[in-house]
Amino acid sequence: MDSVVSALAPTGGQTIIDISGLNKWFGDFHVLRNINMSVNKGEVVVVIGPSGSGKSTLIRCVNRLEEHQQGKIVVDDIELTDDVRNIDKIRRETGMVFQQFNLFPHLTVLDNVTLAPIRVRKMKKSEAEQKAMYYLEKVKIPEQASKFPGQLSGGQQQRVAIARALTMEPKVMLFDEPTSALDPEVVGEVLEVMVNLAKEGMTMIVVTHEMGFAREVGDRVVFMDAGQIVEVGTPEHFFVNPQEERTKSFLSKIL
Amino acid sequence: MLQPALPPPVRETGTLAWMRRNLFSNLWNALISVVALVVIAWGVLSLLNWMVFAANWDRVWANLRLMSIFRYPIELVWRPMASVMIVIFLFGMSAGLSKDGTGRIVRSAYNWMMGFVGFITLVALFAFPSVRFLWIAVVVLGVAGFWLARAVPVLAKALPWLWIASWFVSLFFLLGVGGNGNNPTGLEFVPPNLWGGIILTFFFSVTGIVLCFPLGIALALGRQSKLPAIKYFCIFYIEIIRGAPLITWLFTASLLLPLFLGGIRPEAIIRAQVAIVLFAAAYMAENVRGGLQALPKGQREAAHALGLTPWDSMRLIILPQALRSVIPAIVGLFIGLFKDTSLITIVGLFDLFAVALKVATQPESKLIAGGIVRELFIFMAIFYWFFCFRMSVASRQLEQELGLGTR
Repeated sequence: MDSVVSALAPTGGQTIIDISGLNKWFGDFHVLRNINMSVNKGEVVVVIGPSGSGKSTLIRCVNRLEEHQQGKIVVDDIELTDDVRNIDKIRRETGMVFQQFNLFPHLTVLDNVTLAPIRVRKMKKSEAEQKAMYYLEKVKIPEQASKFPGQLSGGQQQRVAIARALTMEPKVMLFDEPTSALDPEVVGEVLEVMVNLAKEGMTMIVVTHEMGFAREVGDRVVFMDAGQIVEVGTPEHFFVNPQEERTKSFLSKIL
Repeated sequence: MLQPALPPPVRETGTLAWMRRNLFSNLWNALISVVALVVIAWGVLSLLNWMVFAANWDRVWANLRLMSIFRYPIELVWRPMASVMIVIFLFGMSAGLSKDGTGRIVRSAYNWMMGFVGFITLVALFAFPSVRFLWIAVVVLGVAGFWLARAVPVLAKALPWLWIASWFVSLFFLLGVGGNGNNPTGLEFVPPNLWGGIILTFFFSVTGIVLCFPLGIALALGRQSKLPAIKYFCIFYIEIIRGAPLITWLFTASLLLPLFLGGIRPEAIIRAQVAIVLFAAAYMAENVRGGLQALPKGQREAAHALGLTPWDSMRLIILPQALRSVIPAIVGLFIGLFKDTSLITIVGLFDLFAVALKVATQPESKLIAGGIVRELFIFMAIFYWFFCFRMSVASRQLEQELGLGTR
């Protein structure tokens, strides 16, 4: 248990997300149970676990797509409360990538990417477009800028979604099963973008079933089951020498 | 081994092949086809035969002015024409300013409208000398608006305001100013029970369509509001309005509205217009709600996650998509509203339908054997069909134009 506790509060570095005593219910269903977790700047935290374990709900609480009922969430020194100004501030600093991409189908790729910088950051159109092209090049699809999302493949759409989040230049990126809706053939191109992003020092929380990704770039792996954090550790520790029975049985099924 | 790509099998094409495949594929189908064709041909031929040889169009022709503007004083006929000119001029400007994409729809509607106006002008030129110069002016202004807007693109900024102003100016020209004695505007009052016909039908339907649209959206959004007071007000409003026929609301507006307003009695035309707008808005709200509910939840979430304000995400993300998915329903409502304006006859106003019924009962009309009701109804059928069909064409164009990025 000692190893778990020490991994919950990483030593050194600057905390950017701090979650303590978090509880959430969907109706009567207790979906998140006393979650304590903090993330340092530049850290990549991978959250894994069986479906229905509350992984997605946890990261959706971080930018208030879901409301929590108990506990405290602090992002970049701002506490998430009912105060709309705080919610807006936090959403500006957190980018999110969804399983279903959620690109805006009625806007071109370029408009998808520049919309928030222009509207939220009050950037000039030309400046926003320049920035958008920079990030579209980064995800390797600048040539698709004038197309509509419906004309792109799943992998391309997800890379646009990543560029859209990055163009806001957030401090934290949240990934909610970014490769789960993709054809197996194109999973690689999205993971590659995410690996590069991690190596450049972006702070990321990634909910995923891609164990290879967790091993390669994860600083810490969080295993959740039934709304609780069961075990936390470095990938080496986690995959080679898991402590909890539940973790062992989960890993034995998927590895 | 990789299979080579083969050309598709050759299909017989052409009218004969199509007929053989669809109409005469076996004996039974051939029999049905022949019988159906005979019945259709017989129906069409006898209708045409009646229209050309038996029908008496003289009374329809002689009453065209009555059906267009009703009993609007003949010496003031330039005033309704002036409102037509304003609208056509702005229509021309809109067409001149519209770019590609959805702008093509405006231009196509403009071309149709100019064709229609041109046709009337030709008829007026030969048959109705009293208005021929007025109609020529309409055509000239329609074309001038187009080229003016082309030459001065900055006008695009003023266009929405010009359209709003045009409503008031048109109404001002049509109604004039009430009161007695010295009238500084020089436009004497023409009571609404004198004017009607086609111009009233258009005035009611255009105003109704333009006003019920934003009101319906507001009600649909209100119905989804988290604030119970707004939410239940909207639900209550929508369900109450939809719970009674339009005629009921026209009567209510006509008889009860003055009571609510403490004895102030707005013109009948305003009262009827309010009833139509409020009625259509309830239906509009439900159409829009359908669109809002069809939108995947992820779209809202993505807009929130990017930090867009609720107003921006509604305006830029949610509404454009929600409305796009219910265009057919919305245009259906507009077409219905256009035709429902014929009900205003029951509150003492004379739209095209009411005037036509009056024409049918003129002593001169009754002298004709069999009356002229059939002729009048065919005339109206063509009139209503022309504009309903045009709206339906615009709806289809809009769907195509907005069906973006569908693979």
